Amino acid sequence: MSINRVIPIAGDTLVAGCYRRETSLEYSLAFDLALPASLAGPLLAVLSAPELTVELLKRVTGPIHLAVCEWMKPSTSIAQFVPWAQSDLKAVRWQEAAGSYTQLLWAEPEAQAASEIAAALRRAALPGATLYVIASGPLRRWLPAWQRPPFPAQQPLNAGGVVAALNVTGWEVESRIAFHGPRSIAWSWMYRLAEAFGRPDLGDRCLFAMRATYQEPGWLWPLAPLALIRARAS
Amino acid sequence: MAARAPGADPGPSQLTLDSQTAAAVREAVLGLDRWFDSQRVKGGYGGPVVHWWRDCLHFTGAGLDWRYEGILIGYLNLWAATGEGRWFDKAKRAGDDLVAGQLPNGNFRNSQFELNPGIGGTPHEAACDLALLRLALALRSIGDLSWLNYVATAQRNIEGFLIGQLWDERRRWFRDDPAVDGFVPNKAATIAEAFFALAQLTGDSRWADDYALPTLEGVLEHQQTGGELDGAIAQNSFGSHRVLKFFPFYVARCLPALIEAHAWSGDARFAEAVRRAAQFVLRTRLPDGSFPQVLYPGRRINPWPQWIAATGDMLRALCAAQAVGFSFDPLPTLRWLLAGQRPDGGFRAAVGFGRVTPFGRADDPRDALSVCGWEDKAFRFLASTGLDSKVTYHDPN
Repeated sequence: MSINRVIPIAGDTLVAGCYRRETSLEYSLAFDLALPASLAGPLLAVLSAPELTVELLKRVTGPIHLAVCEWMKPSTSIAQFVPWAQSDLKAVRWQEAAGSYTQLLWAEPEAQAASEIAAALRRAALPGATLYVIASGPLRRWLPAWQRPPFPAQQPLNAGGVVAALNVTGWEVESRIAFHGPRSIAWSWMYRLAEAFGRPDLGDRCLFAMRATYQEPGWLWPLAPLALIRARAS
Repeated sequence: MAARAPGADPGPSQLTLDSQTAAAVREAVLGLDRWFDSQRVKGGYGGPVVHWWRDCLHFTGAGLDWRYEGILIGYLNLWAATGEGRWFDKAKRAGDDLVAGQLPNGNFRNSQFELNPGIGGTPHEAACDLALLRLALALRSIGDLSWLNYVATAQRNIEGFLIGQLWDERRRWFRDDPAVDGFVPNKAATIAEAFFALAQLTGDSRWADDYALPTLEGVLEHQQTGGELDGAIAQNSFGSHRVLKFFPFYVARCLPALIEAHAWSGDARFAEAVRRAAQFVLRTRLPDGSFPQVLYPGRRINPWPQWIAATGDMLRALCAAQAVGFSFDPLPTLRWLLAGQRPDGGFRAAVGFGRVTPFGRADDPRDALSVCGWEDKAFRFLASTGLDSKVTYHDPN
């Protein structure tokens, strides 16, 4: 598992600090898959923490609309993210968002009000729109992002809860992927064993195998730290 | 070394190609040029990345990383060889990508190559600086005042990131990470190259004396003495702990900076280090001209994946080492490289990605991928060799 480190610099801004944070492989793959290079129209995103905004700025070359969330206070205004964006970045209220979007993202849903947000996302979506949800699972504490605050969410909802919320709010779940499941966890332990026994050559091969088995079927989400869910507005 | 225009690489003067090989090189260069154009996306050159450390197959946006070193300098090499302005225009377009992609804090957008998207990539941002400074040298030589803009961009990154974040005053070398007491010789060598270029451009020797040379002393400390690994350079270290993995490709990447250190300082230790490192790289070469990926102590070796496009950098480094008395026959590796070109003009990244893992397989699709950050290495070398001013490059498209 790759490290998730913050490179401190004097007088650094929140955005620069977030930008420099090396994203662990699980989150990196999840955001990569959820955010294709070119999107048709603006992306509507619901993010549980300001740090997650940077993952969008890194990848999305078109307009990004952030649904107004709890963390959008003056001290963490999205204005500071704007100079780093590759296109327009703005906050939108749910009332403005109705029936406008074909691409939606929900990263690290909070358990509190999950059904309400799922329903609001459905109202914001055009028929046939695609929603990606990135949700950590019971093994999230193994992820670097969850080992010290600020955490990506305060009361995270796991993939099972997300699917339940989507199913009752007009979303049809099409596919699920789990990241860093049992196979890759086993390979990572074999890597550590090989290194401990002075066989870095075998260790490197195990590390390669770990990466090659990083994506697992979605039903394994209880045994993986992160999951990606794709749903379509029905 | 043959003299070349400012900014371009010195051509490998001892390399003589028969007419058939020279023609193949020319076709390969034109094919790569076409292929690079096909990789243009918003913000620069994009596409997937396959690598030893990690792959970046889903994010395919523009990456402002070491691909710009080979692309930009490769086009300068073509311009130097032919005098045709269109190659210079492409070099300048690459420089403009970097200027436009500089972020508010001086880093370059998506500079982490296999870890993209992200910023603060090493040695990638230094490689971008080097490319910008080479472009500035070329522009200044023709009296184009825009060279100042490219220097300003590079210097902002050099002072804000390389010195501001990575310089370790106690050890007097560049770390790989501001938060970790670690050193990676090949990355430090690329940083040193950028500092030599800045010293040349500004006429201020402190860039070389205060930063590049002390850093390269650190590279010398990582060189093995004696045994079958004599001359090899350890991949990295954490504090006093050396990580004893030896990648011929990365050892070769150390050579150009060490050669410059010798030229700059006259210190014979740098020349000796180059000869021993080059001999190590050459000893690992296989009969087909390829190189294994990594060697470990105890005669352990992992051949896979064997780079194809990236061997351009190895050829460039080994040819450059001729300046300090090293000699070798580049043709086997040149043939290995040229045989890896695909009909679309790109080169295959490697052979054997699938064989690295236990119970691996021979048919891994990553082998067939062309990757801007590997193609640039083939392009830069091929554009510097087998060419002369009589050659007119006619692009049928």
